[in-house]
Parts: sequence; structure tokens; C-alpha cells
Amino acid sequence: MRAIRITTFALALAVTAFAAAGCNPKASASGKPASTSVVVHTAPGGGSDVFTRQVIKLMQQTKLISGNWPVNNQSAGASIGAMSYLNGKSGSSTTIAAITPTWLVTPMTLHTTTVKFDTFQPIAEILVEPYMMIVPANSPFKTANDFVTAAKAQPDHYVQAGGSLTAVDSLDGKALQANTGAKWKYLTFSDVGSRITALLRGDAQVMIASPVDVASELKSGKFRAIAVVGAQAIPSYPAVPTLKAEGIDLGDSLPAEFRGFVGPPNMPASALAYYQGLFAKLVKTPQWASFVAANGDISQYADGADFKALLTDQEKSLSTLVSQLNLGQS
Amino acid sequence: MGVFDNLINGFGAALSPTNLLWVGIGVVIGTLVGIIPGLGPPATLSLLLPLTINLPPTTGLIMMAGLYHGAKFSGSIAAVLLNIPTEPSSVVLCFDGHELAKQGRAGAALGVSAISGFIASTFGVVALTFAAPVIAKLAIDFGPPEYGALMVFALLLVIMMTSNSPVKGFVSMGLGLLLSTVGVDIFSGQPRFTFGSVTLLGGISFIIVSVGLFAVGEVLVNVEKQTGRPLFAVPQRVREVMPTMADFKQSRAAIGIGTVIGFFVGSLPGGGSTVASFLSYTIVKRTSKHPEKFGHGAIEGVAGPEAANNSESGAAMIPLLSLGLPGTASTAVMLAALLIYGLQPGPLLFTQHPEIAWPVIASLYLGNVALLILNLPMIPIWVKILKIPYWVLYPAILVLSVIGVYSIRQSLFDLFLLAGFGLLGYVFHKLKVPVAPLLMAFVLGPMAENAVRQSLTLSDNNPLIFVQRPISATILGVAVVGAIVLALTSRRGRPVSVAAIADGDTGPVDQIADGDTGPADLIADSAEPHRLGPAVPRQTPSSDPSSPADLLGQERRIS
Repeated sequence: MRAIRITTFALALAVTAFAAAGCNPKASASGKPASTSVVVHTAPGGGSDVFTRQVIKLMQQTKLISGNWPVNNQSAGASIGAMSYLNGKSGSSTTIAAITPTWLVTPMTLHTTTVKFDTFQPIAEILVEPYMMIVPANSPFKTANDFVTAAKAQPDHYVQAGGSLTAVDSLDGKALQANTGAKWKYLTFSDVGSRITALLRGDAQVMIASPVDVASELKSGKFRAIAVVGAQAIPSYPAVPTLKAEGIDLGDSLPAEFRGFVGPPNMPASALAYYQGLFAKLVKTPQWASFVAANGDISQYADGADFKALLTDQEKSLSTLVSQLNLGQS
Repeated sequence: MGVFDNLINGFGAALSPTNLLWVGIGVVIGTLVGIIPGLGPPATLSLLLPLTINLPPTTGLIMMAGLYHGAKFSGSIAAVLLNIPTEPSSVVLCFDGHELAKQGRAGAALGVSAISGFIASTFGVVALTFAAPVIAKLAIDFGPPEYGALMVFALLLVIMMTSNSPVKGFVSMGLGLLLSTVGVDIFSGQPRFTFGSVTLLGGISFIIVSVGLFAVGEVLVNVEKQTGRPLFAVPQRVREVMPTMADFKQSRAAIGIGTVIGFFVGSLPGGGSTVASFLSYTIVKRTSKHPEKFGHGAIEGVAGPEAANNSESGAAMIPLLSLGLPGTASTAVMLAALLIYGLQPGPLLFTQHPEIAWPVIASLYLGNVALLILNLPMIPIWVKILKIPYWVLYPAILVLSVIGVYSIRQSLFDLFLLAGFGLLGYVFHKLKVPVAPLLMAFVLGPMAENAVRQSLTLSDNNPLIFVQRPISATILGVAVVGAIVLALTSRRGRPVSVAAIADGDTGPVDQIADGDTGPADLIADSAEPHRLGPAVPRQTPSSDPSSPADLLGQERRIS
């Protein structure tokens, strides 16, 4: 009956794991919760999941935390599942969540949802993943203006590969088209890999991507970056001009792939302060600086009211673009 | 330095005592955790990711390879012994593996599963080492129209699986396609068929559908029979537990077919082991000399899909390591691990970090060897699960199913869905509708839909794009020719009797539906002896496992 015992053991393991995830110990006097789990809205291996695990690892390496923070993948409904889960944790000091623009956009486009990010407690924004216009190495387009001019001459001829219609790369592309009067097609792929092969194959001519997604192709010379979409130049790619420098001004509140953390509604102030302290320390470490540089990201720390203002500002610009796409809640 | 030297160096780096210890631990943990439905390889890997990333990269990745293979093998254990598909790619094993278990040949099924997996994995690693650049090029050439054509081919195979009962097959396939559209559509960002439910926004999990239809459905069907007799013939001697030489001789062709299909499908990003195992099962069956045995415990029906499943895992590393593209959920987790180690998978990984890339390939292989060494001797112990009386086993299957489904995302709603699909499995059995087309359509549906919509975006809604591109035109051509050839050959030599229709072509629930096909029924189902007719004596399955089904087939054809 050893087999049964083994099965029982596996079951016991699982049950213990669930029990541990479900309990909710009180925070100690210093505001440091007894444990922390981080909710992300993607499956293991997805963007937000990988980023969160990297942050946790950096926290461990820099001795900011001693134990592990388990990642809780609530991947239903492009952030709606994660937001509903976090709402259910009201008042908890042991659950935080990684927030991205998806958390702002999805509630605008799904007619049936009632959850919204503004019930959550903003902890801190720590990073912006900037976006670049990427073309294959053999592309005739040397600058963003080359591409825009060509796309104006032949409307709906060129193809941009990207994520879901409401993702930031899609919305940035729409903003660029609205601003310049050019028109091109948009090809949706759920995974970055397929977008990259679409460009390598010639099915698509351009993509708007964050450096981390195409770092390997850029380094090996398969892709070229022709412009930075945001207003800020990227420290790791100093030679790539911004769209603004190229004479295309998309305004200051363009949707950006920011990354930060929020707490559930009514998170105790002491816990909030504890987490803010941790992230504030993290972004000052040399390990963080080299992580940001390696990924071609921009370190950008904002907490409390500043983070809240940033979220509100982003929501405004996202909702403008979403309503132009006729996707908004009617 | 040639690729061969690199591989040898990789093995050298991987073969340290510490690494061997971790790969062993990985296999054991993977086997234990992977037995819970829903905790297939990807979930097991992600659960233990925090543990592995604190090890040095090579050791951590080797342990993950062990975990991966362990979890894959326990998928076979659960499918063969309990009829629970713990992960999508082990669904096919329920078709024949569980039938073999009912005939007292569970050990043979598990042994063939492990060994054919090992053979395929050997091929996968060798091919990965030498053919990676060529295969990587092919992966780039596969765009939306090519995937579209591949999906036409795959759906054609689904129809062929049901060709003996077309109407029921189409109903099942249609339902599968419909279920696969539930959730947010990424083209429009709008929800479809979610009825206002937040939990349905992400679609229905494959695990819920398959565990409901198979495990829960089977329990419901058997409970209704209230036989009170053991369902399984439990082998007594060790010799009966292991596969025989005849088993391997029979499985040779199936292993070959499965290996090649698994490697091809696995090397395409997004291909995945589920598609590989389904495709190889259908092709192995179609090319078999005795397709009527499939679904009643054909050992090839275990060997082919398991070979595909394992050569796929070698092939899946090609897009991951050479292009940085994860093809499957498991490789997505491996990608996450590489990223957390600060390594960027892609064309540069082999030149910049050969000390990581080659040991990873070597470790994939070592994971499989460790699995063989640790788990083959364990098979007789696993098989003892079958000795558990049904009044313990059935509640245990239900508990395992519920825990597994609940563990995916801690949702009570998912448990209601599980119950719903359990009932659906029961109803399908009563109406003799096969479940396999539903499951396969459920997997292929989103891929087919995305590929067609992406292709039409590219071509401004001109369907000719599918024949204008050489690869997709070739695949479509092969599909059409194959369909014609198979349609013609399957007509020939088939018994005309309507009663034989459901045999051999469908999933286990359908076999149960017949109520009289499997030898287990011959033993257990004495409540309905009239169906067998007085001429058929009670058979002991261990005497000749295939004969009861054959006898039955004869009986039905005569009638």
C-alpha cells in the first residue's frame, strides 16, 4: 500500500499549500506583515509574472526580504480575475498585486465588469518599459518618418504586429496613425514570439515593442530600432531618437507600459508604509540599476499621491484612445 | 568546435554529483505532485520555480528538467490507472491505457509509456543538437496561413476519428469548437459567451473539461452499474506487470510515427504536446493493421502518443533556445526561469552562454534517463493502486479531481463547471456520443480561429492566401490527398454491421457506452449477460488480453 501512502503524501502537501495560501496573519507592530503573496494577472511565464518574480529575486539578493514571496497567478479575464481577487482581500496586509496598464484598459472595454483599479491602495510605481518602433534589419525604413510617409502613400498596405487590440503597443500605434494621418493594418498575436517571427518572415513590417521583448534580436542584428515612442530617450539605447525628436509629437500622456504594485482596498497604513519603504530602497540598489539597464527599461519611482496621479493620467489617455477604437463601454 | 563536442561538454557539466542529486529529487517531486489533475508539468514547474531559482542556473534548470519529466510520467500513471487526464497531453492515454489497465495490463502500459518516451526523447535530443538551425528556420516560415492549413489538416483528422458515426462525431466536435470560443476575443477585446461571468472571461480550462468528461463521467457511469465487483484484473506476478517483447514489437512503428510527429509539431511555436499526441494517435490508428483494437487496449495507442509527447519536449526547446519563443506552457515557465537567471534565450544564447545552453539540452536527456531508472522499478508499486476497492477508489478519484481543478485558480465556479462536464460525460455515454472529437476541437479551435483571422487580415479577406504560400498550399494538398486515400481505404474491408460502428473509433466513454466491449465488462458487468449471448464464456483477461474484445467484435459482426 505504499502507493496509497505516496498519494496521501502528495495530497497532504497540496492541502498544506492551500491552507498556507489562505491564512491571513496579523501584521506585527513594525508594519511588517508575517507573510506576503503577490497577485499577478498573467499565467506563469507571462510578462507580469516574470517581472514580479524578478523583482522578488532582486529583493532577496539585496537582503530587503528574507523569505520568499509566493506569486499568485490569477489569470482569468485579462486582469479582471486578479482585480476581483484583490477586492476580496480588503483590509489584508499580506496580499499585494503587480499592476500594469491592462488593469486600466480591460475594465473600459469589457461591458460586464464592475471592478476598477481606483479602489486599490497604490503602493509604488517602480519602472516604465519604454516602447520602440522596431523594423527588420533589411527594412528600407531608416527612420519613423520613412515608415509614416510610406504608410501615407499606401494606406492599409503595411502591417504592424502586436498584442491584443487594447494592449499599449496597439494603442500607441493608433495614436501615431491619428497624429500623422497614416494608416496601416494591425495583426494580433497573443504571444511575443509569433510577433517576432511575423517580422522575420515579412508578414509584418513594423512592431512597437519594449526593448526586453526584442533585446536578443536587436543585439544579434536581426532587428533595428528606429524610434522611441515615449517622450523620454532610453538610457540603454542612446542612439535611438524619440518620435518627438523626429518631429512627431504625440503629447506627454501617451499610454506607457508602467509597472508598479498596489494593495487591496483598506490595506492598513502601516503595511502600506512598509511596502513603500521596501520598493523605495530597492530602486536605489546597484542590482536594480543593472537589472533596469540590462532590460533597456527606465527606472521611475513614484509612490502614494504621485502614483495615484499617474494612474489617473494614464487612465484618461487610455480611455481617449479606446473610445476612438469604438471599444468602450456603451 | 563542432556541435558534438559542445554536447559532450554539456553532459560533462551536467553530470556532477550535485546535479544528479537534484535531477533525481526533481523526478521524484515531479512524479508525486504531477499526479494531481491540473498540476501537470507547467503548473508543477511554476510551483517549484521559487525553489529552483535559488540554485545555480545549470543545477536549477537540470532540476526543472527532472521535474518536467517526472510530472509528465505521473500524467501517464493517473491516466492509465485512474482514467484521470492530469494534463491535456495525457488525455489520449486514457483511450487505450486505461482499457489496458482494466485488462490487468496497467504495468505493460506504463512500461511502454516510459520506454517509448525514452526512445523518442533520445531522438529528440539528438535531432535538437544537430538539426536545430534548420528547424528554427522552419519555425520562422510558419505564419498564420501555414498554421491555418495545419489546423485544416488536424480538424480533418478529427472528422476521420469519427468517420464511423459522422453525425455524433460532428455534434461532439461542434460542441468542442463552441466551448473553445468562450472568453475574451483578442481580436476585438470583447467577451464571447461569458454570460456576464468574470470567471468565464479567461475561457474554460481544458483540465476542467477533460477531467469532467473522463474521470467524473466514468465514476458516474460505473456507480450507476452498482456491480460491487472489482473493475480491474489485478496482476499477481511481477512478470505480468512488465511489458513483453511482443508489446514492443507491436509498438515499433507507432513509436517511430509518434517520434517524428511529436518532433515536427513540437518544433513549431504554439504546436504543443496535446496536438502532437492527438495527431500521432489518429495517424497510428489509421495506419494500423487492426484499427478496431484501438480504444480497447491497443498497446500502440499508448506507445505512439507517448513517443510524440516526449520527442515534443526536445523539439520545444528549439524555438525556446534558438529563437527565445516558448512553444508550450512548460517552455514558457522554463523561459521565465532563464529570464530570472538573467539569461536572454534567443539566437545569442548558444554563443554567449554555451555553459548554460548545452547543459540544458543534456539535462533534458538526463531527466528522462533518471525517470527511467527511478520509475520503472516503481511501476509494480503504482499498479497496486488498482487493488483499492472501488468504494475507496471512486471517492478518491472524485477528491483528486476536485482538488486538482480547485488548485488551478481557487475558484468554486470551476467546480460547478467540473460537475457540469461530469454530467455531460455521463449523457454522452448514454447517447453513445464520442468525447474525443469534443476535446480535440476544444484544443484546436482557438488556434484555427486565430490563424484564419490573422491570415485574412494579411490578405484583405482574400481566402486565396492559403494556396498562394508554398508551405500552406503543400499542407492543404497533403490534407486533401490524405483525406481521399483514407476515405477510400477505410471503406474497404469494413464490416457493414451497424453494431460495429462505435467500436474502436472513439473515446473511453463511448466504449463504456457500448457496455460490452472491454474485457472488464465481461467480468464485472454480469448484470447484463444477455448482451454477450450464451456462446461467450467468461474470460480471464490475463490469459489473452485481446481475445475478449475480438470475440465480442466477432459476435457483433455475426449478429
